[in-house]
Amino acid sequence: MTRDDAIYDVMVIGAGFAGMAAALFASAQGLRVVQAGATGGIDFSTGFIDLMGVHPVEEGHRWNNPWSAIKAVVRDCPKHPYGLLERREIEESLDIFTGFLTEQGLEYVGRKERNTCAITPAGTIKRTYRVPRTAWNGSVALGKKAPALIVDFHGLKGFSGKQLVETQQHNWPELRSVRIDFPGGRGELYPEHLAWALADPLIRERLVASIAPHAADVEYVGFPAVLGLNDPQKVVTHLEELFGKRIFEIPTLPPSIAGPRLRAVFDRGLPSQGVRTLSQKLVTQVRKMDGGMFQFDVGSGAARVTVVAKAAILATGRFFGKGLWADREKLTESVFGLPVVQPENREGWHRSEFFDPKGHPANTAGIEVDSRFRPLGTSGLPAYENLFAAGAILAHQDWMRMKCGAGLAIATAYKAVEELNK
Amino acid sequence: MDFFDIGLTLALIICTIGVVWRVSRWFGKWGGEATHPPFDSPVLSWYLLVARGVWTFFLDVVLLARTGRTSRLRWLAHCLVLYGFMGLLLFHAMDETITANVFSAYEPTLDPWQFLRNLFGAMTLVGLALMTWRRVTLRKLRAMTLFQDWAAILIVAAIIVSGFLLEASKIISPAVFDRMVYEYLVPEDGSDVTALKVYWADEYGLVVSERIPTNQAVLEKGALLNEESCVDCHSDTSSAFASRPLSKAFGPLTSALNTSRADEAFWYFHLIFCFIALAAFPFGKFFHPFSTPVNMVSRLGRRDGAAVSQPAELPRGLGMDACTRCGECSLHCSVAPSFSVLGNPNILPSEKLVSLRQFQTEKSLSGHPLDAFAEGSRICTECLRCTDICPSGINLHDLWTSSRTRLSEQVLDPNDVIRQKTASHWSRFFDEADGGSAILPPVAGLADNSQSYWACVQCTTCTSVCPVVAVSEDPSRDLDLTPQQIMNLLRMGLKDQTLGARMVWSCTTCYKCQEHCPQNIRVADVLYELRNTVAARLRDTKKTNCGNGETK
Amino acid sequence: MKYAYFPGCKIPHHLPEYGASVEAVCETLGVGLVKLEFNCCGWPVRHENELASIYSAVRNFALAEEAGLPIFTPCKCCFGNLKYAASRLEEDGKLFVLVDRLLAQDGLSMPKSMKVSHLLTVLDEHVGVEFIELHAVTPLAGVKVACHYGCHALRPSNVTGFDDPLAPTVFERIMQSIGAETVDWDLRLECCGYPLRGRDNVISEALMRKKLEDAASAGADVIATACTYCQLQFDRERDALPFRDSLRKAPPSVLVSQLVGIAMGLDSSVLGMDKNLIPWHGPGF
Repeated sequence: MTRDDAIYDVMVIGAGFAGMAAALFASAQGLRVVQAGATGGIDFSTGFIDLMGVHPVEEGHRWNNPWSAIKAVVRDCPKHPYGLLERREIEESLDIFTGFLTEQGLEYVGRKERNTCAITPAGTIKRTYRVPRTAWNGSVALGKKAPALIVDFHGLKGFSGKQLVETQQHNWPELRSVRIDFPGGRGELYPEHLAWALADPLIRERLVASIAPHAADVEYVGFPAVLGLNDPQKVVTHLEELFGKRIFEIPTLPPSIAGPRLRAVFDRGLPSQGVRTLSQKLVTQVRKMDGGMFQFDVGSGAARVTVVAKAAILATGRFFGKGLWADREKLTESVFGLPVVQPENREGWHRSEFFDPKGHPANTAGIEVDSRFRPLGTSGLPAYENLFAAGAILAHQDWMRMKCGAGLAIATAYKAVEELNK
Repeated sequence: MDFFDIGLTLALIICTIGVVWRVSRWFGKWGGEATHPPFDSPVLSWYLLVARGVWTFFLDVVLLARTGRTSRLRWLAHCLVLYGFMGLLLFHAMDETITANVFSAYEPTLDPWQFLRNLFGAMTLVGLALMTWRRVTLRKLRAMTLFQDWAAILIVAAIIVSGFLLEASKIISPAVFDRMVYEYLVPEDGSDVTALKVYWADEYGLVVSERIPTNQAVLEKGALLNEESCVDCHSDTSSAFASRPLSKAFGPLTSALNTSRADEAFWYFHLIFCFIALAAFPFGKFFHPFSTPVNMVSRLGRRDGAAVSQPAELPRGLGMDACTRCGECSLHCSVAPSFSVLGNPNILPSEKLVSLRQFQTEKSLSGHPLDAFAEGSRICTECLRCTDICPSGINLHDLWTSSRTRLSEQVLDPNDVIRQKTASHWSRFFDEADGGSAILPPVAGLADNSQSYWACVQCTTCTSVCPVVAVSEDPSRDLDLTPQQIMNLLRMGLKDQTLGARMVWSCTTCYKCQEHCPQNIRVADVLYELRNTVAARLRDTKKTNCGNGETK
Repeated sequence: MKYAYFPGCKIPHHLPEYGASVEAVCETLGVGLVKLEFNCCGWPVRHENELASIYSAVRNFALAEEAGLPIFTPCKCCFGNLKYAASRLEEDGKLFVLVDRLLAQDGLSMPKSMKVSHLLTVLDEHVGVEFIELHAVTPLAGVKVACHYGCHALRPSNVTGFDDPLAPTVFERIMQSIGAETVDWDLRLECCGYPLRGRDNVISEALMRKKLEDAASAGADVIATACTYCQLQFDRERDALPFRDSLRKAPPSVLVSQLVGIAMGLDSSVLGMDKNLIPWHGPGF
């Protein structure tokens, strides 16, 4: 077991997509890894792995081929982090990442050259690169415009079959919806609790029994993503057996359980890869030691831990992940105090319209890195020889509008680990 | 009938009636359920039962083994008082019925009786002194000591001290000497009395006021006379090793005492104290020399919470009567620190027992004292340390659990009070009850601090990870509010609206909400604090009697 | 390796098999336990008054410091509350003064350090799983164990510092060291429901039901507990269910010290196996 006095090869700061990916890649390369980070990005994700979906954002142009989209982005915005990566690296990173998920029982599927059209809880279609196996049938049904029924439940907020059908009515005429009472549940419902309930096979049988009368003439039945906590495939398979229909899940609004499922895979899988995880703890202080190593204080109060690492990967995300901090005047980086690329002053952070299609400059703020993904200091040179960065904290990208969050996080994490291990 | 007969008869009547009344209360109906498992009470055959009873009597009553487990000092004090006082009682107080019949040559002024009387008296006094010292020096015990505790020590001490004074005043008294001479000496001439007096003044501590010759010849004569007429009934008073020095200590007061016939006054005092003690025997802790041994034998030496149910369940009232108020249970009580903070004596077992007696036997507990009793009962963690340590062998655990049902029917705990009415009722109630902030318990103060919630983005993570919300059929019906809704109301300053919400009271304290909150909000700590707040405010409203901190 | 043994209020009479098995296992593994007269950890009174709760906890630390020993407890609720009190004193100066005053009235002084370890941590870090493995003369081969973590040691992790709050491994590691197989189950880190006993019995039972059913469907032979209250819930309270309740057939709950003790070859009566009301008919006894 890892001891407190151990010296780690790398400290991964962050537990979102980039942090999880960096910890995975680094441990796969045989490095001694310690990771810290609290609930954040991954818990609030849809469970889809986007690579590149929209560019330019002001036009809302959607791409079916993510690789062409990446090319276009790099051409138009040369500083976009994808510009520092080769296709081979991106592909390899995603393969390892999804391979790990599949190995851990959370299978992901998709096509090599094409984005998959996935249904969102609002009924819109989004281009994404990899989807969980349990969502795949939804994309197939959408592609075939097959007769399908969307089921939702009284009391479950943020998921409306009716809205979904209305949004899709011209595109997908044979889509219908039904709202039922969840067996044994009344009032407000929450995805995690429904997933708890569906662990019980009897509840699944009652569920199928109450939907069956509405699903006589459909091929596919879609549910909000509540089908099981950590092993959704088991629940889906059972439902398909009971039903004789193809079943798929549509993610609910965050916090859905699609995110926590991903997170749980890493919570279980990383320690068994030898990663020491300091879950739910933020780095509170960092000191540079003689010889260039870092010493981190992680967590506060009684549970504070001090760890020493030869190198570090900064994957703290932006505002929600607490990697960036916005005070009255400026944006700052919260662990190392690195310079942040940002508008001149606060007036420049946001455009006047909230839904401005161009997005907001504050959403492309972040830290600048060199070609080896080392954050730059005030001089324009790498701030530290042994500090690397990955994920949303990188400047010059608006992952939320560009639909490139997970892919960017995973690929930059991969590259950062590669560079660190050179 | 003289004073002695009247006094004794009266005291005996009071004592007998009292004992009958007291013992009759042992058998009062409790109605509570018996102690639940895991205490196994094996069924014993009658001879094993008797054997264990005898063994318990020997060990716990005769040798005071249970007292010995608590502290050596206490054991020593108790042994001294027990053996000293029982010695006095049996051979001295009841000399005509016991001692004289067993020892034909018995005379109270002969050795060894004279010596033993002093010895037993001194033992008792030393024991009482040790008890007093313990009660004064142990701060916690001092705080728990009631009037009856001091009264018991004082009356016994008064009997012994008055006895010593009586003996001492007789030693010095020429009047007593003269009476004895008149009764037992047939003087040949006047100088005989003088010679004897000289001898007694010289040897036996008699103090005479007139001048008497003290030459060797007179002394020798006196010695001879003493040998002839006195020694059959009188040993040298120096064997009264307490009274004789006491008589010397009278010093300048001696002649005043002699002329005023202090011996007669002390005789009255001594008897009056004895009669008081006899009459007081059935009351308060005076009864314990009887009830405690009966209880210990009936418990057959058990120290756990098992009810000894053979041959018939023993009356619980006996257990309550067996308390000697030694305070050991409270000194070892697991939740005594809560008493230090909350100041409610009913948290301590010895004091809770006082309330229990009022509640159970006298049915006279109501209002604030009843609430305080209920709080004490609630805070007990059932560690059974009191039951284990009790030197009187009282099955305290059984007393607590058997009274709990009836108590919880009469006084609701904050959780039950809240559940009786709707959340909106409590919202109005707390809103209208003023002084809310002034009576806050000393807690983290999270709920009233807007900084506790500034980072909340209402993402519902706390609610969706909550297992209580997960298992409730209809959260809005069963829980009123979800955790994230409570956080939202609090950050808007609407604390009163959250206090009665079932969610606050059905929180299972698993801390998942707090652990998973992406914004580090101390959700579970806040819910604890809200329960603390209600407990404090309900206590306050009950105390000030403005209603609705209701009892059924 | 010596500790001040803190069994808490419930073990001596309500769960004596936990105390007996902990003492037997510690003796076998060379963990010295010194018995002091502690008071309640303060957890039960925390619903009522925080200061009473914290003072109770700190008083125990003061007693342990007088004896010059760190506290060792097999109960997670005791552990959690002792940790909570220590962290509250660290963050709140006003509270510190209040508690200091109360201690002084009791003739005690504020402890300089407040150290407490849970049984699992002691087995894992101080004894070491390799050492346990070495002494497991009758390993529990083929026994599928569902480890129940219990809440108050695990969370809030920034107070308890027990193990990774989202992916703890210490319990499984110990079970594997005695040769048992551990199962992965969804509700591994959920609450047993005991804290709601007497406050909301319906939800308390529902929580227990969910957990036990999940452990059963994960294929566990036994649920391993390392907390007084969790065991009271899964054993004593479960036994109070109606005779025909299917929950009685769910995996029995066995204390970690009993399982380790069996592997050490200790006598099952010493470990109090016969006191478990929902009995486990495991291999070899």
